[in-house]
Amino acid sequence: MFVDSSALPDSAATNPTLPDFSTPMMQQYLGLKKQYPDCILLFRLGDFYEMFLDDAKLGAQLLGIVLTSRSRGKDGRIPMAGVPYHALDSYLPKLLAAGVKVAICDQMTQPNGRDLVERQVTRIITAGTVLDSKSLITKQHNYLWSIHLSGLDLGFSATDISTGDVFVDLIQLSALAELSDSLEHLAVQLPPSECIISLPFEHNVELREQLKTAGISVIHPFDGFPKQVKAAKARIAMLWPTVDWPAALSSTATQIAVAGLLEYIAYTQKMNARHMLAPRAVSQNSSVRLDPATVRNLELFRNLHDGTEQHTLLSVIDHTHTAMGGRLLKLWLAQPLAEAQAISTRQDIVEWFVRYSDECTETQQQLRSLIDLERVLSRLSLRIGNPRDVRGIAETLQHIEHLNTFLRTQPHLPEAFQKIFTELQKPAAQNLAAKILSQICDDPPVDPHDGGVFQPGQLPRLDELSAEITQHQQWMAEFESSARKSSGISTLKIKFNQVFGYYIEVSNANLHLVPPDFQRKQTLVNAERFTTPALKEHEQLILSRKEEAQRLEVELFEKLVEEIVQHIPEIQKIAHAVAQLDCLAGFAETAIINAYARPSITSGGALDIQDGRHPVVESSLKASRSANAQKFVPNSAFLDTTEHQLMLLTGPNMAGKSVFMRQIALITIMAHLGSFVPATSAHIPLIDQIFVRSGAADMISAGRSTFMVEMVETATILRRATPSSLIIMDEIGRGTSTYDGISIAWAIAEFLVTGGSSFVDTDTKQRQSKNLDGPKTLFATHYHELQTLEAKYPQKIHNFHMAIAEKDGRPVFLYQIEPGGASHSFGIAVAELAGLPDKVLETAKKMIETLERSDGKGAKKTSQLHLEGIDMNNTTPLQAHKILQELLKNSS
Amino acid sequence: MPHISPLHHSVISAIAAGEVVERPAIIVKELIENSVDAGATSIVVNIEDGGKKTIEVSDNGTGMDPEDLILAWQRHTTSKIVAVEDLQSLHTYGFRGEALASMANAAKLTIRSRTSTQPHGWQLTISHGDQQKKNNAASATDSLEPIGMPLGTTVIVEELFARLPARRKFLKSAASEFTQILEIVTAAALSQPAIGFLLTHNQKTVLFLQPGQNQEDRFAGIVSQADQYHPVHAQNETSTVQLVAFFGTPQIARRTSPSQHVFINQRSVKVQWLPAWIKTQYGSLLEAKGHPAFTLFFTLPADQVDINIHPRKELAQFLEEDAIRELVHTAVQEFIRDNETAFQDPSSVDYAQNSSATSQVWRVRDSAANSGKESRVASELTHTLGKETSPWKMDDVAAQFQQLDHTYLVCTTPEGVLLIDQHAAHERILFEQFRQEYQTKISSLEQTVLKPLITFELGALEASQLRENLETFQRMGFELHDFGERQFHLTAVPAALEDRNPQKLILEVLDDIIMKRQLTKIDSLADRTLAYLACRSAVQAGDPLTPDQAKRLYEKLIQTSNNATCPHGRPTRITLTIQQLEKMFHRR
Repeated sequence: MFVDSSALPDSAATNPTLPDFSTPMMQQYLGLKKQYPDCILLFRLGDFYEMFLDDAKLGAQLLGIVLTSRSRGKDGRIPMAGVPYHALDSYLPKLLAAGVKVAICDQMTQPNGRDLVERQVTRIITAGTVLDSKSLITKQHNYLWSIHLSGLDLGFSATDISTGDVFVDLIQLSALAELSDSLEHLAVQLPPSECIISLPFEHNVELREQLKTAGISVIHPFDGFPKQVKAAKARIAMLWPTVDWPAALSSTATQIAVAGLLEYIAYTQKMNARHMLAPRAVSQNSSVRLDPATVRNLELFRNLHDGTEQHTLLSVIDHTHTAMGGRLLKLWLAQPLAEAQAISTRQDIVEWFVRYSDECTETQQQLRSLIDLERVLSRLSLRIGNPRDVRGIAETLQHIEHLNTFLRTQPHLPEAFQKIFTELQKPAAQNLAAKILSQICDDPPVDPHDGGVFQPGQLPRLDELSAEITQHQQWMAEFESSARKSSGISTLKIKFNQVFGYYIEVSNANLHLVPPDFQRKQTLVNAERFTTPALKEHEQLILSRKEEAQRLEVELFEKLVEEIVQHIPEIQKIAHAVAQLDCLAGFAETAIINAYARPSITSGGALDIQDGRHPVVESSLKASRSANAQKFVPNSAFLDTTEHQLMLLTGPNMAGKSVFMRQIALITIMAHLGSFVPATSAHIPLIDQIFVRSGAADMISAGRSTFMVEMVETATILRRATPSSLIIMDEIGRGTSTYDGISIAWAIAEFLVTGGSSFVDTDTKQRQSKNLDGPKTLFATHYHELQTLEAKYPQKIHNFHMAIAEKDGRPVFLYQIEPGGASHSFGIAVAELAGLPDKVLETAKKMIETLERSDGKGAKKTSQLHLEGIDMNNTTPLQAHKILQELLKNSS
Repeated sequence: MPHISPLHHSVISAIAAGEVVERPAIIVKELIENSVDAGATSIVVNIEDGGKKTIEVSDNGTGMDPEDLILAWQRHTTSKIVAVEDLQSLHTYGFRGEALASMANAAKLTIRSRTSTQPHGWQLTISHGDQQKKNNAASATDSLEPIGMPLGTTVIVEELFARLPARRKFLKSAASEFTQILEIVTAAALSQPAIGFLLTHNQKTVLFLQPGQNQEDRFAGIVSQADQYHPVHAQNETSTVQLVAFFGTPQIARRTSPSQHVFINQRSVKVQWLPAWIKTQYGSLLEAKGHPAFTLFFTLPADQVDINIHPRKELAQFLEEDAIRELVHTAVQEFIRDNETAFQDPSSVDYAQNSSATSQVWRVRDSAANSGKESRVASELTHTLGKETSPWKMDDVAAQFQQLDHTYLVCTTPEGVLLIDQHAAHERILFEQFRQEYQTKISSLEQTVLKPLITFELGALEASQLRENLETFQRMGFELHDFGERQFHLTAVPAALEDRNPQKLILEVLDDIIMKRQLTKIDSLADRTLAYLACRSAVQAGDPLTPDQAKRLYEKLIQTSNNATCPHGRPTRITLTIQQLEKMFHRR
């Protein structure tokens, strides 16, 4: 549910004044509410978190709970809605999803029945700063963005508070309108759940618009951004005094963005987070650039059908078993490696796991038992971790040590493992783990105040106290049996409850036997409860000892947490190494299950895929496993920057053109991840950018037509592509009239092989003789006219088509790619397969006959005649061009 | 009375079809063999409803041309032999050219195939022999359709016996049919470690094996308790016969349905004399009734072995049997010599926490002598007991028992001499006791929680069996948890079994299920389980009993129903009447 942010309390600063109340509690409420006008204030009242007034109305609506009201004497009835305090975690996600900020107000003192309980806002929770596990998706980073625009410099910073990762970037715009493109590109890599912007801000409205265009909906203005660069620098230096700044961080805009981010964390968490890692640049130069359209069209993370993870590349390659691995894999996929060395390091490890598949399974088995170190550490760092978290960290560190030992002792390990081993080998962390395990009980309580967190022997006083408690409880037991004997009441029992403490219970039937020294405490329906002075005394002793023990335990626990916090950087390194192992073992599993091969990565040369398959289509065909399910037909591909630069694909719809082109893009991406690929063998040259232009996604909301979207995307491609790029053009120009479409498609194809120089004869000739490099391109089209391009650029462009067989006049799709152009599009046959009404089909068939006939009388007939007289093999490009010019003249 | 008249050829085909492909497992076997013969490196078997709905076998082998495809499904067509002499040097599995023809008659058969020279594949569908009835290849040519597919062959068999209700009636439950398929695929996978296998049932992966494995890896990937086997390599003097053998330790020997596999030139066969011969070689390492687990792979020239002594190619005979006997003997000796210390070291026995249980298994006896005697005695006794009619009165017994050989209890009665087998008797007592509790559904068969829990892994076959029968085991008091794949966790066992080896027990009961496939009623399965429970918990032969204990055992026995035999049918007690004694001594 999305609530327009203008309707949210963030504009409450300008709200009409809040009403006045006379009761002390409501005055207290108003005082707090005034401090946090832009938040929904959850006000702790006993066992409930209550919302009042407008908060209650909005909250009740968002949470689907009942809006009630509370009568408050002179103040009349106040709108109110509340949730039980222990169920807060289940309600929070709904509020956060609506983009609301929530201020949690807790009781700081125990109610004593006389004074007003002291209350404080202890934490502000927003979509980007939430830490509880119910609101977070395990295998997904939860990024909070901070943006500061200074002139045309866009300072960018993002963090996942739940893991401590921090990213920075500086984008220098040439016009404000470019903003949304940059933001969209960032959103692919670090999808935000919340974005803060500095306030006040001259471009506020425009920035908001641009953010929304980029699909970022939860935007919160924040007034804590430092106004001065100096202040910003100081703020940053406080957290990372000796950091090596990424280049982006040297700019003012970025510094302010980062400082704003840190302020926001402090503001929401009410403390400084100490687990934040030193900032990294968003995209190192060492990654393949995938623009948002490509990521969408290739269905890397989300499918185009329903936006879920099903049938995406991620779903095929994600065999991670830890949350850390799952998150890292997403980052890897958004930023594929562009360095041969780095890729082969990953490949070496994957190959070892593939060869030693039992060891791979064992590794994954061990990984499965690890907890989410990164998120638990952040909880501890922000002091909301519990004893189980602490114990969990220690156990996980120990498991990791076992895993490390297990792997280290394996034979034939490639060198690539060494770096991971080094990161896993952290003796200090292991000592810490051993210490924790020796101190904390096997099954500690969730709340340290419940007691029983520590094993005996940690603190003499604690042991003493627990011995004394046992002793007094012993006394209770003895007292019970002696009281039974002396009174003759065999059912006499000593019991305990929170409200009444210890008491003696006697059933009504035995009341006449009660000794005179029992003092009546409480009467129930069928029993009465008593106490005695001695019992009272021992009760007092037990309770005071318990209280002291509890205090000591909490102190001890906090000390231990502090010690863990000291070790956070090391443990985060371990977590990162584990995440890598997880991803790579997962790649191996994927490779084993699907029979993938290790691609060879070269820094240049041809892209050569033997019997490639589309990873996603293949595995969903496999998954269906129903009889008669088609088997995926593998296809080879060869592309280079010179002689086989552009594959021109023709053939009917449904024949598999799009699948074939995408499979090449996906295989290329997988190769750059260090994964094995679905092919019998593959040589993949390093690619700098991949562009996939396809489909017709209307963006009505953005006010762009199909054709406009198509052209905007194409423009980006033509502007950015280099000879090291891979371009996939799927039916370019289909969003407009046929002749417009053909012309545009033609021109784009030519541009791609000639580098866009003017179409002067001599120049073309020169270019061809030089055979200049161009981007590897797959170009699918229904315009068969484009097939003549092969003749014009025989050194560059090659026609291919998807094979079709005919059976009883119907096309049979063979999914096999073959050299040469297609002659027939089978459009009507496909329409027939799709079940179009007979009448429509009949009319269409008649229409096509008419068209072809009338066409024959007109320009096309002439051109055909013209073309038939040409000996393609002996036509120079210059001649071909002239012929074409003539044809074009005739046709127009 | 109708006259005898010759059958129409279509009827003959239909009848013959049932002979060759009587059940889904046979179809799977034939199709896998075809795939192997086609040089596949990967074979995928998809089964639905135990093969009653669909059997699909695909491979990446050489495939067939359309010309071959038209002939493939016709009777007595094969690519594997041309002349009779070829039978002598057969290296392929199939050769009679009957399998596909039979399938075409018995089901809806779809064959898709593509060779490397074809730009696409061809598909042929023959429905229940329709084309065969028309009896011309032209109709088949008509139904040949182009289809997009990778290299290799896919055969789909659907609606098995849909038009032969009499045959369909004989198909068992989907689970039971699938169990047989699993056995077939497992055997094929064992014999072809270089080929990758994927077996699915109702869309769930049951078996996945990577291609290119060696014999050891493949064996470990399939067989349960693979770590309880030891590989031995052997060959004859001239190196013409190669043997790779995996012998199971005596710990995993079983009384029933042992895991015994023999492969000759990668073909799963039975060699009648082999199991007994190997058992003899194990000698006193085994319990009297234990059968060793083993898997043997023989590689030898095709003319040294005859596999055609059985129509389904299931039995094999070696030409030089003595030499093979010698080879196996050597192999077993080597296995025993290499592992002897391990066998006698209790700590090496699988489950340390159950060492008391394993020590039971370790009773070393003279197997040959014992087994012979027991069976003879048993048959005589059933005979006598059958005649016994008089009710058994305990009051008559002077309750003074002597223990004989720590196994039998002897005492005199007014009628004669009463002999009791202490183990059998106790077994019956416990069995009745357990059964009563079970039937009144007091599942309060007291449990003992295992700490730590036992994790164990079964072979794919056993895992599938156990999964089907999990509920029965749970009702028995085993807390078993399915941990996916082939893993199970055992967290609690019936208290009676506390000091036994529960995993071994579970395996043994499973064995029984696997062997007696007719078993469908859960009650009889429960009985079997209870029988095992009783057997495992009862005093064993060889346990010394005090006269008091003996008397109590006797008292309980006479209060128990069905007390004449143990749950397995052995007698619990025998009375030698005075009349019988008189006869023996020729007094009468």
